[in-house]
Amino acid sequence: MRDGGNVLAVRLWAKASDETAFESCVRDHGQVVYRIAYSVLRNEQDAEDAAQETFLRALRSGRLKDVNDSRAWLARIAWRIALDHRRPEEVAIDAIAEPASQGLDAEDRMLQGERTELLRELIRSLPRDLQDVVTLSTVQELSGADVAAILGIPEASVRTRMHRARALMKEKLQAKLSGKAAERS
Amino acid sequence: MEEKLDRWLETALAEYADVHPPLGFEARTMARLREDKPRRGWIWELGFAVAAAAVFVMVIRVTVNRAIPADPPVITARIVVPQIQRVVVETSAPPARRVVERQDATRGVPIVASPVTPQEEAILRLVGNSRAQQLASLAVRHGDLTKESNQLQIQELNIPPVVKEEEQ
Repeated sequence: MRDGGNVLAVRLWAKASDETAFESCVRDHGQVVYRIAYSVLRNEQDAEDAAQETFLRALRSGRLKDVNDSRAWLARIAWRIALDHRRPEEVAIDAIAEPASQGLDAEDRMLQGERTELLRELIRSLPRDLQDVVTLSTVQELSGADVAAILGIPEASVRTRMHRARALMKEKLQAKLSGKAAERS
Repeated sequence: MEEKLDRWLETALAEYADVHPPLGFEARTMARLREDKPRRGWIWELGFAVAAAAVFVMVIRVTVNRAIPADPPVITARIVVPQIQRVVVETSAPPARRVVERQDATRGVPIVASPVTPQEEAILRLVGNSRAQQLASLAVRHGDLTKESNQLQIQELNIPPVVKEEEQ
């Protein structure tokens, strides 16, 4: 009876410690998981669903205690889940609402939402390998090494791809703004 | 122009990355995790119960269907003891040979322990019958011997007495 009581106590303690561990895990890594999901899905509800699914999968796998770098592990899971949840959309850069004023001087008056939307479409117009790097690089908590680990590529490749992506985005942005300016004149 | 584009891009990327989870995100996530836990436990318990029931049913079926060795067959065949013919002794004719019909009814019948087996009984009867037959045959022979003995001619033998040498 006494042994049974001890076993029960140990189980209750383990259960409680599991829950505490998961609570601290959600508290520590919830934000980065959510941001990774949001960087892909760009929708609050979808991102929250994906983040919750990430933790559920981690819980179901039962390997949270065995993983050395739980943050990187959760980041990889979140990335895969977010990609699975991503809806296919047509890339239509021309369909984006034009900035309220012409020229880059007026961009300060541009609404933040519009700018963000334009950047989103610019990112989506990139080739897939560059798109992934830019998407993950926008997550504040992730370093170049983290991005490389999630994508399974060398860190140097992350830098190279980021450089190429920026160049391409600038090129497209310039072409778009120049075209619009020419139309108006 | 290049510098402005860079600046625009930096600003846009910073804004793009400025994302925060909605209020109550952690609480909702923990609630969903807690909600999932008992469900998982219930599913596991149900799975174990179904597996245990399946094993139990299989064991029962195997036990029931196991071949039960059949009891040895009870043979109710009647053992027919051959009738023994009574020997009629006739002095004029040779005694009739006792004809015993061969019966195969007892073939294959297991030997059952009893005070006197049918075979033994048959032998006893045969012996008893044989004695009478022998007597009958002796009686027949006796008649014949008397006839033969009448025909015998007895001759007397003259045997000289033995004389000792010393007496001579």
